[in-house]
Amino acid sequence: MSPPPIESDLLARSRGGDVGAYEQLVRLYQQLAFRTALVLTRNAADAEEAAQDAFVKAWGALGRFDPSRPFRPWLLTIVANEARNRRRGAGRREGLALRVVGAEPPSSGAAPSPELALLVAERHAALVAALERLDERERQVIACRFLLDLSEIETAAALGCRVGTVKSRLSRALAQLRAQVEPEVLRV
Amino acid sequence: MSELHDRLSALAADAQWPATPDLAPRVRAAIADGVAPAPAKRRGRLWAGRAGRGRLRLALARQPAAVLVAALLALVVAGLLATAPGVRSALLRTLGLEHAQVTRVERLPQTTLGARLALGERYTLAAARKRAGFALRRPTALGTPEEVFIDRGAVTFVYGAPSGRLILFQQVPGSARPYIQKFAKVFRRVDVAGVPGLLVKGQHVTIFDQRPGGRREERSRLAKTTLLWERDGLLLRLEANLSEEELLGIARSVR
Repeated sequence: MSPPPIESDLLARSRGGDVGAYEQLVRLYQQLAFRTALVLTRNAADAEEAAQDAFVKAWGALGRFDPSRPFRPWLLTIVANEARNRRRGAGRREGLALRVVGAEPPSSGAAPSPELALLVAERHAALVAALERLDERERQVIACRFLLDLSEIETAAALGCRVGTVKSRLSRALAQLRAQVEPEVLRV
Repeated sequence: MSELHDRLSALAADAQWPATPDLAPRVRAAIADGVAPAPAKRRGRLWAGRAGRGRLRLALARQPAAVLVAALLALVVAGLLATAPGVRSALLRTLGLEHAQVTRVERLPQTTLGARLALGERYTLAAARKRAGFALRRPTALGTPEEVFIDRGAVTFVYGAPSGRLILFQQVPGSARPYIQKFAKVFRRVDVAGVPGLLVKGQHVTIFDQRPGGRREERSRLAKTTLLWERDGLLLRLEANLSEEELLGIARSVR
């Protein structure tokens, strides 16, 4: 699949040494890079550092990027390497590193009833707790596929494994998750 | 799609991630500073690979002559800088460096640190973290240091650029009342993210009490511009041939 025109244009200009274009490219992907690093490091400061260093290194390596291939997996590989380097050297880790809206009213539309809001919050809390109980690799594959909405190829790049491994790991993770949350979450 | 998939999708929709930092300006600054080379084909490794380290070693090897020349210049200029004690005290208050003392002298003192970049023993970053005995700070704007040295508790990160320019970031734990004597051509007060700092231009010597270790001396290695400030019990020095704005930008990124 060819990249969107704006990405393609920015990539071509960046590969030609246009720093301004690369700055736009960074803005385009910094959220993806930061959140992916956050999933892997579980520490916001480490994730920020990893994402920044990844973009700097990616700039130097752009000459070796094959423009016929998708950019996101290539970038995510670099981000993941930086994130793993930091993960190895640090001890302090946070939980799932994100909060979940439950009882808060949606940004657009009417506020849910207190009962519904409470129900949603409880379901989310149970699901997050179940995710935390998963093996780290399984939690990461769930986070990549569902929370970050990465493709299988992108997930493989972020986790440093093959697509087949992503599929099998995801299947295993979902089965474990289903077994854990069904009694408390799905039967409503 | 299964109900579990629906629940996970709903969870994703309701998730509140930490705010994504705007990395673009910092990445651009790092590129502009030559931390990473421009995109080029057929580069064997990433920019921090062997080629980069080779350039770094070359740049390090080039430094001694520059330092010697700058030291001679400083000896000439330092004679013009004698300041009375009362003025010095007022100057200290003005500078706002709570634990620092600035003294102007007629000549540079003899120091054991001479014309070479004697930064101590080299460590990996991970090993340095264990060895240092305190939580290492890092200027995130510069990314990962290319080389790390430790000299009697003072940890120095070396960042090299393909252009041969070097940036040194040094951190050392201070005592309860460390003092710093600076011998320099120019110094002035600056604000480093709300913390008072001192900008020193040219060759200079820093004398301070380190805990543990006591009195020691540090000569500037690059004879360029040095930013000095204190944070969380650490004395931080950033030394490079950069503009004041660039130095402050890097200093503000220290985490």
